[in-house]
Amino acid sequence: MTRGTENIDVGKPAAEARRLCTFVVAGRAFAVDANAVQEVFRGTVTTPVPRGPAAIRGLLNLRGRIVPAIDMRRRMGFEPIAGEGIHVVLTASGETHSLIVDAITDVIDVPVAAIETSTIGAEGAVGECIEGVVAARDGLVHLLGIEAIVAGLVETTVERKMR
Amino acid sequence: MNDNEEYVREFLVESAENLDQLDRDLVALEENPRDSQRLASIFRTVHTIKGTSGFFGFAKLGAITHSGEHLLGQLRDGKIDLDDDVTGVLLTLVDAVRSILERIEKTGGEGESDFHDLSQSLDRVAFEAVKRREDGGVVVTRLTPPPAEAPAPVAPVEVSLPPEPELEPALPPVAEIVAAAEIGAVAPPEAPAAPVVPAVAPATTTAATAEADVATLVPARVVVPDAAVPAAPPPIPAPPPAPRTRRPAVAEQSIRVDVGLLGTLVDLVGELVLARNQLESTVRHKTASRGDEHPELLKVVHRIDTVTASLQAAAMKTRMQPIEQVFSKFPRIVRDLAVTCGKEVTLEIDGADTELDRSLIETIRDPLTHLVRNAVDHGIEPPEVRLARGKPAAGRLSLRAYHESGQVMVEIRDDGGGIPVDAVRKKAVAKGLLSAEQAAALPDDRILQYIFEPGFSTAAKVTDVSGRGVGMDVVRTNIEAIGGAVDIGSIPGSGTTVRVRIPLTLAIIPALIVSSGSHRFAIPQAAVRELIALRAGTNGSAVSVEGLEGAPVMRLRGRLLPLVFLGEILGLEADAAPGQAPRGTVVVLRSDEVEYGLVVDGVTVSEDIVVKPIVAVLVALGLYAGATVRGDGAVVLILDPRGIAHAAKVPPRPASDRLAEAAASEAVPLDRYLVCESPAGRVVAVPLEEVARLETFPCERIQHAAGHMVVHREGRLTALADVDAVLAGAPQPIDTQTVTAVILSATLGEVALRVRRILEVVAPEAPINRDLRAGGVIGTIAVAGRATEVIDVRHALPGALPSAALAGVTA
Repeated sequence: MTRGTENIDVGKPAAEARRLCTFVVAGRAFAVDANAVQEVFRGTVTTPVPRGPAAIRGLLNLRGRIVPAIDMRRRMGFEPIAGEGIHVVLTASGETHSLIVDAITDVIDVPVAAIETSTIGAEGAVGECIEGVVAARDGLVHLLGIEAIVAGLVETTVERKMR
Repeated sequence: MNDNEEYVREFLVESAENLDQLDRDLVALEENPRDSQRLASIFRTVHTIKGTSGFFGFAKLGAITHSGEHLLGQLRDGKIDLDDDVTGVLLTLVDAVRSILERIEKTGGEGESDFHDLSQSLDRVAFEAVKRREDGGVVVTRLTPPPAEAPAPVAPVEVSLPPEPELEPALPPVAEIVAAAEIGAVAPPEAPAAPVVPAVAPATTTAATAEADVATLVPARVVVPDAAVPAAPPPIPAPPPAPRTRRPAVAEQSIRVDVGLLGTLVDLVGELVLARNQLESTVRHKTASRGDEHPELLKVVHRIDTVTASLQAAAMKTRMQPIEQVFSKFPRIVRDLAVTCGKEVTLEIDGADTELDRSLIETIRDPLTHLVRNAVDHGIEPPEVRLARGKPAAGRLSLRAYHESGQVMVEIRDDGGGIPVDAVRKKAVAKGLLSAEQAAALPDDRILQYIFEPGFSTAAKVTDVSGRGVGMDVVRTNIEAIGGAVDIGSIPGSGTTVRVRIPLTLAIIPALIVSSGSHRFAIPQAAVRELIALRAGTNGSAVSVEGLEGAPVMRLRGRLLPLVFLGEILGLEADAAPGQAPRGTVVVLRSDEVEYGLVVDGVTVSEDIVVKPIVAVLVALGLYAGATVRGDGAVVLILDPRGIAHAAKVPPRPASDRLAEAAASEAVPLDRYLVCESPAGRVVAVPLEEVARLETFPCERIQHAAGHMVVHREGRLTALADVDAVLAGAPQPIDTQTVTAVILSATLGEVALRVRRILEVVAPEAPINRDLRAGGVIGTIAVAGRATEVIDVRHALPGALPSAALAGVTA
């Protein structure tokens, strides 16, 4: 597995603000809470999980810790693409997961008040992962909730033919 | 979390440990009321809890510990004796404190329960004890019962010590001094909490220190630290020797570390090991390919290698904890239970410092507690029964833990009445677990294991057996769940021993690495019974796969073994096209409920793996028990044998089947025969005890030597005989690619007996009929209602054979 870690300087957000890590999946802008992000790296997954949720591309060995890598394109019902992708590793509720996204965009601070928590216009697999929407400089960014992403894995489990 | 909450949490953790210590100390004190060290320790603990509860404003806790402290103070000062009432009320105090603390932990408050009664009874007991003492006219001097009742060493000392009036006013109660000495503080003595009658002080001192060492008693002031003797006229002759019962001051040598941090440490070390491996191979590769040596670099790599290995060992050690964590609860449990049952029990604990993985400590707590309870409740007889049987009134229960071949053994031994084996035997028959014949044939120690069967586990049904066995099936299930084993032995009239075998750690387990297509998986060795090669196409293969109502099964030593194809159950690429004979390896897996053969493409290696947890979503699949990282850094999933059986809908084995099999394989001395088909199609039997093993080899290995056919195996030549020839028939030509043979062991040497295929192993109910004897046949047995000839093995030996039998005809 090739792994080039890009350090994200999380730092301290301004008061009443949330620091978000933004990325692109299937041409759309998404974000997760930057404080939950442990690291970001480019790499491949070597160990698939037979009979596992379709969105889990496989398992990573992250310094001895076994971390499932969730293909966000599959998870949100977009057309999957081949290639290794970028791993965004985050910890929530005591478990560590890696989200495979197309590209990392930025780290932004947004006022809490600017995050719209009603998820208007987002339905289906995308909708269930979304926690809120925020208007950033370059347009709307959908804030993803890791718990929601993981909880929905089981429901989206589809019999998958291994390779 | 605010600061206060943090302190409260710390207080709770600390108090929980202290309470366990209190339990132990109180029970020990009851055994040996003279032990002032213990008394001081108890006093201190209760005092600490009282102080801290005042600090946090826990009024109820403060009130009861205050009353407790008062009672303890009187005990310490020798105003009252430690009797059953006192011990009882003090233990109740410990329980009350524990329940308040639990409530604080859950709700943050002390709860509604009113412990006023307890405070009152603590005060009442203190008062009554003093009163009793005074009424009885006993001098208020001793912590101990009169010497007549006490063990020998104390009595003479007590008498021999003269009072030393000039020292007395300076002497605080000994317990307090010892307390001060033990915590390492050199505090000036306080004035005695209660005035001590001058004339009695030396006696008090004597009682307190008698335990430590008789030699230190003269003079008694030895135990007083320097500062405690103001203007001490006689110089202190020697520093106070450490009393034998004193516990080492652990506070300075250990710190509290978050368990998660230790886990991270172990993980990081694992990662380091992998990096070390990569470094090594890279350096080796580079130096080899370029041809230029870097001695310095190699030296550094070697050093990193050594340090990493030591670091790994040390990191793994942080996971280990002494089994004392479990054992420490037992004195109290045994004491309470003995009191309830009206029995006298002496508990002996050995090897409490034996270490095992932290994660296992909790798992074994309940099973061991159960076994200990059983021993007291049902094993050890009431005192009058014991005396009538010529045993001492007090029963002995000994707990012993030790390491043995990489595992932890825990032995629970009592000298009670033992288990009436015949009652168990009858019960097993009555419950239909064994036939009367099987039961009669099984030796006692085998019969005893039936105690662990669920059928024996309800209390009402067990009383007529012996009472023992309540929940024993649960004990076994729990122990086996962690890869351990439990086994019981008993001698009627003289006691019972239960041996529990526990793996050292759950974190590292031996596992089999198997492959299916390009995937690799680990299977815990604990579940693996055997490996069988599945060969396709060979007619005479030792195993054959059959279909039984659509479900594949395999005939294994006369039994049908359900087969599960790993590739199929996991949805991997097809193992074999339908209709094509499967190949690969059958991993026979057995747990309590199921037994099946898991067909994999290959078995790579058997190695120790580090078990890593996987996220809940993956655990929920029910197929994987975890994952591991192999030496090359690859992640490998660990299969859950039970879960796979469930997913494949393997039917559970009936208990009777399991037991009958155990009975058949281990104890019943029935003659067993290997039934096979000769190349000519004759069904014959060979006594199983003559069979060394079954082999299949390619025809190329068959050679002719000295007019005989021999086969090359393991570097030796073994004569190959044809079953038909042994039976004076015509030897069949070898027309297959491979030859299946039964290797017979005989004192004169080995001989390979060529057969077409192996059918099964049978244990006929009727003995062999020797009336029907002929050349090469010693008799007949009935196999599935058909008479089957049993081959005379001696006839197959080279010397005895007609050369025709050995010569054969090659195709």
